[in-house]
Amino acid sequence: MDRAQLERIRNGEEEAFVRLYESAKTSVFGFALHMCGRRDLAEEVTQETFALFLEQLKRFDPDRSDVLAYLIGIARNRLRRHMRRQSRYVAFESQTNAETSLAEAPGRSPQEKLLQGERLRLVRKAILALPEKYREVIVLCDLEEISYQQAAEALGCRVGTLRSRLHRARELLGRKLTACQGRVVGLDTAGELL
Amino acid sequence: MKCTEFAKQLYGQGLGLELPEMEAHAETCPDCRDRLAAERIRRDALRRLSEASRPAAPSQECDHRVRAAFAGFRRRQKEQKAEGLWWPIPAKRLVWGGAAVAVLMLLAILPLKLRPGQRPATSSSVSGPIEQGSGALKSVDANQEKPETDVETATDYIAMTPCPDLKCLDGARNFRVLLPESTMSLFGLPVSGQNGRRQVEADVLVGADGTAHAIRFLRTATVNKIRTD
Repeated sequence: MDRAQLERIRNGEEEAFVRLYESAKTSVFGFALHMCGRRDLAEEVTQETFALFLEQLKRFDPDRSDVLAYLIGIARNRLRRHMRRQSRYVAFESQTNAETSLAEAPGRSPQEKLLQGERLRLVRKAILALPEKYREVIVLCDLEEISYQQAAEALGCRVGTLRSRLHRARELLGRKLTACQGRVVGLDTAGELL
Repeated sequence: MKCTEFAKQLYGQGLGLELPEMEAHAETCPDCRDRLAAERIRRDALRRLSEASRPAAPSQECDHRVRAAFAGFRRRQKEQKAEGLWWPIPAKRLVWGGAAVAVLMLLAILPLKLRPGQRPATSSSVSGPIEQGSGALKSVDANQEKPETDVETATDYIAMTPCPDLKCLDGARNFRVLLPESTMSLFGLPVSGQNGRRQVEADVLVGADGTAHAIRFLRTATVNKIRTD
């Protein structure tokens, strides 16, 4: 986002704001969804993030920080606050709409659909079981595929710190998924996890 | 290839897993072979999860709520502009405003804080008002012109006897006495400790029964007096 667009948003031009929202909502929502595992909470956090961004518009300087990283930083704080209130993580929804549509793709047998759903559930469970600082980097860098620079800015750390966290997080997640493999092998006759 | 290099390569950004050196190392090192297998599983799992989750977009209801938030923001902006206000106040204005207030407060407080002996020479050396009297101009010393005033500061009354309903103070009389400064330490008050024989003034409330019920310590400072000693 450039300074001109920011100025237009400050002046109340809806089109400029909608353009920003459309470009960033997927990443913000995706981050919140993968971090908490609940669609309703992720939507609430997304809404709060953009509302807070509007309130803090004066503070944001597009020359000094990236807007997506800034928004994800807000979402992260909001999410933490919600999580503190609930004081525990809850299980992911059984299936999101996207998963359902994927599982219902033509040419899949009911058994394949069931297996696919179970595989995704296990992967999500493994991600949610990661410590927060490792989950954040996996979600941002591997699932949302944002750059290391943006991720570091969103998390308020250096790129070097992010790299080392990512290294450790990938190793941990690999181990967890390998441990899950046995459960899926029982379902999948081919013996392949995913 | 060493195990540390292997791990660096394995978990690096977007690097392939099919490098011949990695394969060769994995064949000789069981730990790294397991790592390689786990990393393949991880990458495949995340790729599939990412595909399944896309597009991970919020619902239309969420979109509407965000747009409503923007409408509220725009309304507030308009209201502020209509009122001629712009909030938040730019940081520069706040800083300059704060600095100006601080300077004004300093100017107001400084003369009160200055002890008479510390007054700048200009204030005491300036000739006092000139009286027109017996045909000759007469300079009047500023010390004589400014009245000396004693400012008394005191502690709260400290109870010396239990008297919860304060009835013991009916008909009590106040006596001003001079006590050694060390007496203050008996009541938990700080003492200067500079001079053991220093005395302090105190007010003692003596009840009708002749018992001292409460005490307070005083300090008197003279202002507007220029020391001559």
